[in-house]
Amino acid sequence: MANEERKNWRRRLKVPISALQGEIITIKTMAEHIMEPGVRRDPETGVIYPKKIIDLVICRFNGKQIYKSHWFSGVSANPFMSFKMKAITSGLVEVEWVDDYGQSSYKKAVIMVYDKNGKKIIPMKLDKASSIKEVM
Amino acid sequence: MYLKKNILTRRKFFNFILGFACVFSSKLSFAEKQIGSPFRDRFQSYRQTFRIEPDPEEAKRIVRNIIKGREIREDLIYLKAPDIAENGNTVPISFSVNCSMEEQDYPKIVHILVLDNPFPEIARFYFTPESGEASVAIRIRMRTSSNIIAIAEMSDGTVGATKSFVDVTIGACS
Repeated sequence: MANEERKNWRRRLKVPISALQGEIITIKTMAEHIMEPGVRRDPETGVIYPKKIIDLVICRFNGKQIYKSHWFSGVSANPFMSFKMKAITSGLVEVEWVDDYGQSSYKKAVIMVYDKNGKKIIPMKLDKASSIKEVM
Repeated sequence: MYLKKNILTRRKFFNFILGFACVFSSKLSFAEKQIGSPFRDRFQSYRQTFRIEPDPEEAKRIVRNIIKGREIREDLIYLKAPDIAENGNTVPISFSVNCSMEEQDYPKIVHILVLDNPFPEIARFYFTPESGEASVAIRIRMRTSSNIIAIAEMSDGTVGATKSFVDVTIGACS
């Protein structure tokens, strides 16, 4: 039982590590979930299994929502989805899956965007005096 | 003592009937909108659990409510689906919208519908100009061999739609 519960929470997110500026990248997502449609019956007892699906998938880039999708019971089990994004600055990609019961889970990945000259493009501007610059 | 309050007069009786008639007529007039609208009403999940037979009329109603009598643009959205799907549980489909992703010209919502499923609506995708290209791949369930319809609602109010027929050998339970 514990193993099954754990299975419903495993998520996968594939984002390329680096990209050129202005390039269109693909983001692949996969959630391991039963996606019970609420129509199936138990063959012995005839009891309908209660509906449990992933309703909502949100993608955010640097905290701003760039893509959203509503799902209904027609999406297959272990739902796979891939979509596109335009790489302008390097930053954080977050994908959030929200359940029918309001449970949400998320996965994040970092993408580095380079200039044509091979220079990193970072969204925030750092002061000259700050010591963070050496780290970046 | 004679209590006048509890007596059912003719006036009260007629008022009662008239009120009932009003409530019923209003419910009937709203019913058509509620069932066909792509948004879920409160009893959608209930109906979905217990209505197992597919209703082709409802699918048509949903499509009509999305398009709303607008002209359908051609060559706007391309849907890629297999001709024959062996397993109805996972049918891989993908679509792409032919547009420049600018403020005036990007798809706000893309609907995907399978007409012969018991619950015909499958997914809705919301795009923004930041998502550089409106193309998505997803796997869906299909009960019988039927048409898949993809409808794109653009930001300037125009609509594009395509459909493709998929032959399913083993249907899914959805």
